[in-house]
Amino acid sequence: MKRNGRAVRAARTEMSAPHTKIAEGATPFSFKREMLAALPGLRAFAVSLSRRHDRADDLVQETVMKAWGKQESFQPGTNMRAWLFTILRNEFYSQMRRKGRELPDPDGVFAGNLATHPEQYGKLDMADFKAALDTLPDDQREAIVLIGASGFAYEEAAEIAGVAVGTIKSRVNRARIRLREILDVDGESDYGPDNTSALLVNKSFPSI
Amino acid sequence: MGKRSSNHDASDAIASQLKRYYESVEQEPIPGQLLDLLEKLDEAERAGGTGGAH
Repeated sequence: MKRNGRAVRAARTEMSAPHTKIAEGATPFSFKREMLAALPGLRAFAVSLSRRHDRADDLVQETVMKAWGKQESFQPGTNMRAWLFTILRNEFYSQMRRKGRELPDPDGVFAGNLATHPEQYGKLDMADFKAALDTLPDDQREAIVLIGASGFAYEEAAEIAGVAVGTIKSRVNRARIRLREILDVDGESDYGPDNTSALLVNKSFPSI
Repeated sequence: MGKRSSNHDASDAIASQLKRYYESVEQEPIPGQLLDLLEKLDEAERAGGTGGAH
């Protein structure tokens, strides 16, 4: 019994050790490792773009396969994230062309979803924010996410989206304006951690 | 009243909300299927050289 357990343990370490230690001539660049590191961000971008988790996971899977298949075309030292985001983005739009839009009108969904929670007055709910984000046209949503969340520079985002820098800038601007309108944020008092408590006091005791 | 800065504040509020949303998705666990896929691709490459999978 004891010996058996030890043997299993030994076999297990033997099996896993060479995998991590001897990485084929100790190559400095591991495609798989780089890809793993990029996955969380890539997936968040996919969810933002496709608006649905199931579809996003399909997209990421497709992207991983495509990227793997043409890894020779990737130059180590260049931006792996930007490369993957580009593949995913192109895959998204070509799927859209193939399948067409199968989603319900986001405006309708949004109107039904945006709830007012008196106890959360002054605090924007994350679900409400997502609903608002989802109403943006794809190109605007893509632009504001690449710039505002994925952490790309305007030049990088322009390259990923295959448009001019100025186009990205104006898309981001339009997205901001639209979100501000939808969420009815005027910047002075509607929400934000600093303003919340003051606002709550004002609203709770209007007569004082 | 801070009219001058209000647009700026609104953008800040939206920017931070966007980041928070994105980060919440980033922090979700990567689906096992996806990790399996990467593992398989990697194994296929080790075993059969290049172009084994496709």
